[in-house]
Amino acid sequence: MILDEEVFALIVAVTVVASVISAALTLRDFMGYGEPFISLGLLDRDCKIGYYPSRLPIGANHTLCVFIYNGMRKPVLYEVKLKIVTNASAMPTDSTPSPVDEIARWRGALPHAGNATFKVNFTIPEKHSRLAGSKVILVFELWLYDTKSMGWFYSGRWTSLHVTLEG
Amino acid sequence: MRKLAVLALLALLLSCRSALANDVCSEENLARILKELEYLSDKRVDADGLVREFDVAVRACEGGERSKAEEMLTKVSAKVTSLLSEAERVFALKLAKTVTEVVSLLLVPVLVYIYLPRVYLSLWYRSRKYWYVVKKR
Repeated sequence: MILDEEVFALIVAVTVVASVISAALTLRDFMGYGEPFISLGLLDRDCKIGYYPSRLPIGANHTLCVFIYNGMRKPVLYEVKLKIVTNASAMPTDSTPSPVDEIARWRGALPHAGNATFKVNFTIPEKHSRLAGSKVILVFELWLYDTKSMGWFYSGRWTSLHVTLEG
Repeated sequence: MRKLAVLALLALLLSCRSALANDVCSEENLARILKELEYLSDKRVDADGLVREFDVAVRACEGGERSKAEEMLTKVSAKVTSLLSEAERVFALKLAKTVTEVVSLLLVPVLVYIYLPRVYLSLWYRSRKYWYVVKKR
C-alpha cells in the first residue's frame, strides 16, 4: 500500500486536534477570556516596594505611590480614597467599604489591560491631632464608576499601611 | 425692596444651576463619555488612546485645571462621536473575520482527509515517472 492507513489516520487525528485548538484560541481572543478583575497596590514614595514610612507627622505633606491594573475587559473610571482608621471594626472588607470619611481622593481612567502608577500626595488633617502618638491605619480603597446605575461603587479592593501619627 | 432681593437671589441660583450643567468636569459629563468609551470597547473598536486622553482630562479636572480639562474633554468627545458612527461596521467586520478564520481552521481536517491521499499519490507517481519495469530473468 502506497499510503499506510495507520499513518494517514494519525496525520488526520493530529490535524483535527490542531485545528480545534486553533479555532478555540481564535474564538477566545475575540470573545475575551478570564474573570474580570481590578487590582490595587501601594508603593513607597519612589514607587517601589519597601521603605514605607512608619511615622507620619500630622499637618506635613506625605507622598506614596499607588498602582492600579485594569482587567475588567472595559475602560474604567476609578477613584482611590484615603481614610484613616483607628480600630479594626472600621476596616473595609472585600464587600463593604470603611464607614470612615475620606481625607483625600484621586481619580483617573484606564483602558482594559492598562495600568497606572502614580504618586499620591496627602496631608494628615490637624483635626486628627488627638491621635498624635497613636497607631492608625491608612486605608486606600478603590471605587469604580458604574455607568448602569450612574454612581460610584466599592470595588472590594483595598490596601493599608500601619503608621504612628506624630504631633 | 424685598421682592428685588428675592429676584436677585433667584437669578443667582439659576445662573449657578446653568453653570453646573455646563461644567465639563461634572460627573454626568464624565459618565457620559465613559459610557461611550465602554460602548466602543464592547464593539472591539481600539479606543485605548482615547481612554488615556480621558484619563489626562480627569486628572486635570481633579487638579483644578479647568481649561486644560475642557480642551481635552472636547477633543475626546469629538473623536468618540466620530468613532461611534463606525462602531457597528468595525464590529461586523471583526466578527466576519473571526467567523471566517474559525470556519477555515475547522475545514482543514476535512481537506486533509480528502486531498492528502490524492496529493501524496500524485507526488509518488511523479517521482517514479521515468521508472520502467524490468522483467526478472
